[in-house]
Amino acid sequence: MDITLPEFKSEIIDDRAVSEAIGFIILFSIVISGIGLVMLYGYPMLLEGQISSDERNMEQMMINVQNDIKLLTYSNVPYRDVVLNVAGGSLWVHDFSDTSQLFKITYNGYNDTFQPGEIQYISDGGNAVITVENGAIVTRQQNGEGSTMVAKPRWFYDDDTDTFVIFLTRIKAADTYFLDGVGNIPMSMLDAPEVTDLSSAGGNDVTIEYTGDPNDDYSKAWENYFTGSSIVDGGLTKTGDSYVLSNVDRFVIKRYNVTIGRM
Amino acid sequence: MERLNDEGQWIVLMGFLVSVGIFFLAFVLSQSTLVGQTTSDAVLEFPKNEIRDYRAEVIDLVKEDKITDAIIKDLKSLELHRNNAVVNFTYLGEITGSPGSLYDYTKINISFNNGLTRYKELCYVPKKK
Repeated sequence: MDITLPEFKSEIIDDRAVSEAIGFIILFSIVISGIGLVMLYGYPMLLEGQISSDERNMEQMMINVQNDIKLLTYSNVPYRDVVLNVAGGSLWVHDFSDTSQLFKITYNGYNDTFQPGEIQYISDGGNAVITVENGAIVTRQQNGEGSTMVAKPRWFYDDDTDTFVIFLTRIKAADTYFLDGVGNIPMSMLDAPEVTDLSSAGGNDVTIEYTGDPNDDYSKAWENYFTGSSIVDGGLTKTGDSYVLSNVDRFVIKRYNVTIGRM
Repeated sequence: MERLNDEGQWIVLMGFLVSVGIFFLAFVLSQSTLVGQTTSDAVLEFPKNEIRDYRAEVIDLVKEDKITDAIIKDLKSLELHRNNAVVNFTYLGEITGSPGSLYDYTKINISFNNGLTRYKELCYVPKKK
């Protein structure tokens, strides 16, 4: 018996003009032009993202600094080192006598002015300025109006006893210090805090006035803090440039001096 | 046209999967520092021992009938200087236990406030008849 194999028919494709080299060149040029487009449009965006992520990181770092200041002041720890990485800008420490921000406090014949000093980050690429001032973290834009508070200090009003407690944290430094890149801030609080405990039967008004440096102004941030409800429900009353809290029976001021060493 | 050898394509795929995984891990890691920081702060800042300390001191003094205005003043001053807290104590009167019961009670009010945490307690301190 004859077995007839089916005839094998192969279709002939004319592929003499198809070259792997040309295909490779076409694909390669598509890839290169893709990268070029990304570089052209994406790179500035990437750079901006880098700047804003640097600023956000520094905000975190400043919260660390504030936490360590809290440990020094509220928890009675004498020494503290904060290790931080300053990226995309520089960090400055200004002694209280070199700054012109001022808190004026008045209560029942008592008068006081307080200069806080500051630890300040200034962004090089971006516009952000982040400052630790009087236990709070405040931020503003360079060449721009207005400011906001990132983290609040712990002032409080106890309505059981009508007691208003405020904490004044002063930054002291022998010189103006500067930090860029990885470094640490040695902080110490060796003097005991000064406590001023005032009382007046029947209640009296506490008046607080904040004067900002025109070149480094955080008055909006402090205004929002004073008139907001974090100290007392309803906040302090704004009258002119000052903030008033009425019917305070007992007024306590705690003053801390935090000394920053050479960075 | 010569066929390309594509038996290793799964290696490329795995590389892709691993890179996505690394992105995910990096995201989780970047969040964890923030979360860890804030939770540990909240735990550290909660004044549990301070409140218990003050409460125990006051209740012991009331039990032994030794509480005076001078002591209360000292306690208030100590709490302010050491713990930055405003404390208060109010005496609300004696309550006689029902006939046959073993205890009489002293009703007091304790409050503690350090700006972050506020604690108030209405307390009946028992005293043996």
